[in-house]
Amino acid sequence: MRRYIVRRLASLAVVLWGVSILAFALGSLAPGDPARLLMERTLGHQATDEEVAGMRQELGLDRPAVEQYVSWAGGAVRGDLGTSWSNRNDQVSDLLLERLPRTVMLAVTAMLTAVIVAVPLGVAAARRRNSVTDHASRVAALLGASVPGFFVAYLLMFVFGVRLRLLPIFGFDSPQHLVLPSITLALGSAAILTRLTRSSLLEVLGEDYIRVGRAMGLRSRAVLFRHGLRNAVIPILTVIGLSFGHLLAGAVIVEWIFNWPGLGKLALDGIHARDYPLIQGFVLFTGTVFVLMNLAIDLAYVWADPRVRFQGQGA
Amino acid sequence: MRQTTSQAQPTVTVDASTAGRPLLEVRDLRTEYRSPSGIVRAVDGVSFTINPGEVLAVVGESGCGKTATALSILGLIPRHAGQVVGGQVLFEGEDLLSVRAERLRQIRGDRIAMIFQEPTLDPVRRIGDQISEVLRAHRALSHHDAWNQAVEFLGLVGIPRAAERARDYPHQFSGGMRQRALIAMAVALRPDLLIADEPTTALDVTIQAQILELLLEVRRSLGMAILLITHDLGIVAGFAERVMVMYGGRKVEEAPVRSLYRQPKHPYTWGLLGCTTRLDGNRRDRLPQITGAPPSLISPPTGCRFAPRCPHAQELCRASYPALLEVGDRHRAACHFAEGEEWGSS
Repeated sequence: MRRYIVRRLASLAVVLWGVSILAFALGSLAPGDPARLLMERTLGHQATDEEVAGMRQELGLDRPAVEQYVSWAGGAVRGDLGTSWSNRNDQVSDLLLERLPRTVMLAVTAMLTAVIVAVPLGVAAARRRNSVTDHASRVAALLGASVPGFFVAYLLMFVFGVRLRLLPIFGFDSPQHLVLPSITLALGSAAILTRLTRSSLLEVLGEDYIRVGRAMGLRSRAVLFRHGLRNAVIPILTVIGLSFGHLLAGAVIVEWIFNWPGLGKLALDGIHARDYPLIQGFVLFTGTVFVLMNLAIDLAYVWADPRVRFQGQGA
Repeated sequence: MRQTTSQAQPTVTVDASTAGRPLLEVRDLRTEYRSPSGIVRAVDGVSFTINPGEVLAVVGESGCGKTATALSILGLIPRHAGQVVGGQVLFEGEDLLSVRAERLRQIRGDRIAMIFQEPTLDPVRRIGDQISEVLRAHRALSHHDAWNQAVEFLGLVGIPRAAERARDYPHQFSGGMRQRALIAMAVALRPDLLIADEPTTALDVTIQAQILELLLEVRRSLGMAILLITHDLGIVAGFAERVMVMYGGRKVEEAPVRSLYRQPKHPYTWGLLGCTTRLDGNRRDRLPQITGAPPSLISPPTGCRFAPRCPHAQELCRASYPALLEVGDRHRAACHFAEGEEWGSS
């Protein structure tokens, strides 16, 4: 058990190291000369080579890439992601932390929405295989997975915001502002989860121990939930964890459309402004969240599956 | 015990010659499976009875309908796979094919329990909890009492340190121990009938004998009837009192064990007996076998279903299905030539 967690933590460190290299490379491999761009934006006119060189030195871009990486990564380990280029007074880590709760709020709401809709739908579909419910859920899931988020977003805005005037479509001043963006964001995950719940439950329901339960006279409800869904939940947990990472990433577009001031919108603004420290910080940050989510899934496995819990014991 | 109480019940018998009515009477059972290439008539008009406390073995090759018969009795044919299309399954006079779902649930596990070929338990729940759950599904027991009974039965089926091992998960048990745990679960409510569907097939040979011995032991102490389903005539002799041989979804022979081994009347039974290896045989001889494959039950042959594989088949066999006839004391066979001749000798 302890060995299992130590092993997970070790592999986590390796993955994060890889993420940090990728995040850093994004900045130094991108075309264009950020020093010139930044200088010219500050000056408002063409910069001389001397001015650009000065700026390059100031940003530390004249140093070898490895040295730059080491000092950036060294700072990142201590929580210092450098200063934003678009606003030289702002620490990147402060910007990220300020926006984080808003995006987490959006992602968590979306995830809960997806689970609350998808799991019962998947269970119903699996219970009555090839019934109308099953086919309807299949079509709904196909639509949910294939219709792009921005289209759904505009559709929802038009119907609920413009036509019915039920819900606000921009900003984040009230809980109602959360509804449309989180539905948009939830759609894709809900679609995948519905199908997964169905297939995973069907697979479990075909297992011999389900037949044993029925043969021993357990109530069908107990068989379905206590044994069926309880076992089917193991793969479902994985996908919930993974889609949570995707929700954070997917939030970029949804936040932009709904003008939701979260991490995604911050990243987009950073990209527009070629604010490399901000972009690098964002990538490293989301990468970390993703990796931590994976750790959370692994730990959830320990709870969900005794075969994992006892791994390494007595072996 | 249950056995005595059931015999003490007022017997509304049709046949006055028997002491009481049979525990289970299956009449003309028909079960069909759906398959991509058509309807499979897995059980095609099978009738038999089991008396209280009796051990009946059902023998046949895979696909002969023996498992389908057992699943039909308890209403366990998956809805999407197939259904019982006819007949009656009378358990103490009550037709299990027409009772309400809740009544059937009450009978399952409590009055009729079943164990299967694969000793499989829910991988995420403790073994003791799974047995307790079955107990609590049928009796008003506290968690604590149910757990204690579960432990007691685990001990009864030979799990060492049962109180401790009850806390284990199935993957911590070997296959043989899991089958023991499932037997504990099946007999914990002292059912009147235990259906054992190939209970030893998935286990190591050394464990097989132990499990059979355990079943007999449990039967001795709890007194239930057993319906043993097997493809292995070799294990039947020391176990069952009566044998029913199935072929192509039908019963082809039925006899007391002794009579079946001494005077098999159906050429298929004869072939099955020939397939059991003889320790005193010449080692260089090839093992005897029944040539050919079991019939397709989608469009079975019109005559005797065994005719295409039978070394003695005549025109008559291919033309008409033989009736099941009395050929000896409680010995019946469905073969046109069962009464006339002996089918060879060993």
